[in-house]
Amino acid sequence: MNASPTNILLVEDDPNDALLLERAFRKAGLLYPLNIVRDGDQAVDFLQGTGKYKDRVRYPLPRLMLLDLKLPRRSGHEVLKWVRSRPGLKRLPVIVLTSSSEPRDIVAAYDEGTNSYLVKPSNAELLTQMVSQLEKYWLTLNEGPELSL
Amino acid sequence: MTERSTTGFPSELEKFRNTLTHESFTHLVAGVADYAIYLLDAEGQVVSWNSGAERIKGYRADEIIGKHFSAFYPKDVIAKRWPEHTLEAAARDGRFAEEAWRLRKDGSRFFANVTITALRGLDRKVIGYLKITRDLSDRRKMQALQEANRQKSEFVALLEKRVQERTAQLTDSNAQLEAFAYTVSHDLKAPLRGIQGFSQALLEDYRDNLDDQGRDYLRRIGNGILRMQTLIENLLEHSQLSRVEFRLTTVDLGSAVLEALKLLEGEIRATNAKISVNGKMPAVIAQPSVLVQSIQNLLSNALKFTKSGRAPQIRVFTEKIGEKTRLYVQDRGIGIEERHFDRIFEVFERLHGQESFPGTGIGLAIVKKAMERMKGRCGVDSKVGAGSRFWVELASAKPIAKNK
Repeated sequence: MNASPTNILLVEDDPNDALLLERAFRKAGLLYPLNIVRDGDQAVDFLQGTGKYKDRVRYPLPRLMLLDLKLPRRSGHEVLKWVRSRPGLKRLPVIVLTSSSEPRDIVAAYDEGTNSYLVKPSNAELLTQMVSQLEKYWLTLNEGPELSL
Repeated sequence: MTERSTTGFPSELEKFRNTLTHESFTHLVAGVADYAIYLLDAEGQVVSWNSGAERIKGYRADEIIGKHFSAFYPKDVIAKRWPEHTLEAAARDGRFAEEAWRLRKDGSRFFANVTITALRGLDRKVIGYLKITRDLSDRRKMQALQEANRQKSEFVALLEKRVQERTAQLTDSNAQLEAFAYTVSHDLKAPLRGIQGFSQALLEDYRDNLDDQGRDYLRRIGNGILRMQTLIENLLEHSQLSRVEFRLTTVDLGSAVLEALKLLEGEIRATNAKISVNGKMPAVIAQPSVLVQSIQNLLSNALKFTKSGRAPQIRVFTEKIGEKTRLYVQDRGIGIEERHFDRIFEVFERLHGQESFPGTGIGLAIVKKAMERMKGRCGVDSKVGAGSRFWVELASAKPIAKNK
């Protein structure tokens, strides 16, 4: 294994959803460090290492971002567009994880450059299954790009 | 033509008359049919008369020559000495013009454009008047028509404005509906997901700290959540059917049925259902996913409403009715009373308690809405105790060409 980061950035404003996702990772037996931010502005701060996320050792660039769409301050759509516009970040694998299955949101998210779109499962069991499959594909099988800032 | 000298300056008038009776000129004036062109002497008596005058005013030359021209004016203006006034004005200014009402011989009125030109002798004295009258009735009709047209286009413009306003309102309420659906899909589901997640976490992570009753309570919470989630999903599907744009294409009905069956695999296996599908099915005009959903809902009902302890027996087949194709889903379930045939297609209408047959009461409403949006129809025939036969009807399409 090289020194590439293993952490996942979760952008999620609902503390229950965040807690349940953490539990799902535990249940699936996965030990990835999970960084959680609560709104779109914090996500941007985290990714560019500004504000309270200056410490790159504590807050390294993630290998994967799980992004909710409906967020305070800056929506998931805006965060996604911002990421895709930054030279060092634009290839960051992003998975939209939202409760919206509205065709409008799905189409917009792909247009903005998401790598995948997942609808939050309605129960904890399915969530654990989803996390497990997500890890197998995106963090084990998938070859990620080099990121820098 | 009667000729006689009147008061004034006969010699001058004679000269003038002679000028005008110059053959070609007279001929020219006499032939003008669109205008009444005639001469008055200084006192206002008619001296000459052309064919236009005869046509417009109705007098023959021998009837009017020598008469005073006030014969052409309505009584009310004669009382005001208007005819005399017009001559005075023409004498003073050289020319007088007006658009006003005139009388024909038969007493009927017409709207006229009148020009009176004073004619002067060598000594500059007025020797007579040339009157040219044009009947404006046709122009008036034209104006009335133009006015009517103007009012019509004003009305059309008003209507268009109303339509635009109404469309804007509808677009607005559509946007509100969309915002509402978004709220439902996100804000209502989120807390429910929390309740579900944590009650399941309790059940899994703290299993040993709970007794049987505690675990039963949690299972009941779980069932309530499941119902709520199904309800939200169905409501969302129903509202999406109204909002989303439809692109109708040719869909192979057979494939749609197979896809719906695949989606119901679990239920079919669980109920041990026997389902027969008529081998060859035509193509119809529909929206593929919505058609599959509709068929799935009908099949799901057929699987659900069975007599207790009996495995569902379902037959799926089609019938051509003119230009339409009807797909039947027939079961041997509990059946429906005829008085409920319409009601069951409305949102939230249910005939049974949650205990016997759980459901949200939206499934058939979705089928109905889907058929409306796909220019189709749906319906049911049923007999209590014998089973139901639900159908959807769509426009037939040419079969999809198979690539060699």
